[in-house]
Amino acid sequence: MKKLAFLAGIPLLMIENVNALENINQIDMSGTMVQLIAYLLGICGAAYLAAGLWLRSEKGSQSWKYLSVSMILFVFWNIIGTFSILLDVLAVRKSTSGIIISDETLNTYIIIVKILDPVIAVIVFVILLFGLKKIIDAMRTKPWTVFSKDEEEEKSNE
Amino acid sequence: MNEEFFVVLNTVASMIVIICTVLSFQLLVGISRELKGLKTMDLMWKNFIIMINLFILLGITRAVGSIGTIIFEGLQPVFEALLSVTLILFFVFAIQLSLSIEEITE
Repeated sequence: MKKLAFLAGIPLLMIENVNALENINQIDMSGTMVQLIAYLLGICGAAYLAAGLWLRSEKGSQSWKYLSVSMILFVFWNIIGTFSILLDVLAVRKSTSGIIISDETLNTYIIIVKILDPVIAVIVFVILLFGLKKIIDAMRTKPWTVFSKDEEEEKSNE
Repeated sequence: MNEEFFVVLNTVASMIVIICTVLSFQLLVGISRELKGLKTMDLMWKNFIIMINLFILLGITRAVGSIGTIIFEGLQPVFEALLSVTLILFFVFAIQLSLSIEEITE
């Protein structure tokens, strides 16, 4: 029974050690990991959806292309978010991680990420707005063109 | 570059994102009204509307979060957690929408 009690205590000891490390490095690693995983999942989901929407636009209305471009930019936005988290962790743990990087270079990267993040966010949502407007216009005027190419459009392409 | 520049940049970007998301939501309401007459492709449109709603929620959370953090820094972990949860939900519905689009395309 004593052995079992000792085994049950191991996870608690590990949690204590992790908490101690977190306090030393002044960064919430569990929260950071969740954020990082969420961003990576966002990248996968948005890339897969962008591919699907692009294929849809080739066989149907061109308005799907706007949403596809918006999703591709959303992938870049998530990549920048991921880099931002990694840079934050690197800035805090620079001395203990063993990675050699100068303060100037690190600051330059942080500034680039800080500028790109809001700029890409604006572009993503402006393109989404235009895409949705195009889809609703197609649904109101020529509903059959939403899922299949317009005959006039096909003729002009030929 | 100084901190004030980033504060202004983030605030302006957040304002534009909020305006775009509100307008997108209105368009989405219009699309769902148009869909009332349609009986086919129900699942695809259902997933599409949920996915776009989550995308809009993501934009609003990020925009409100970046403005809220400027006012009170203690709010940052709350918005980060909300953003993570919304991103995970977005991933699930993006995959579902892609699968239903693939079914229609085939």
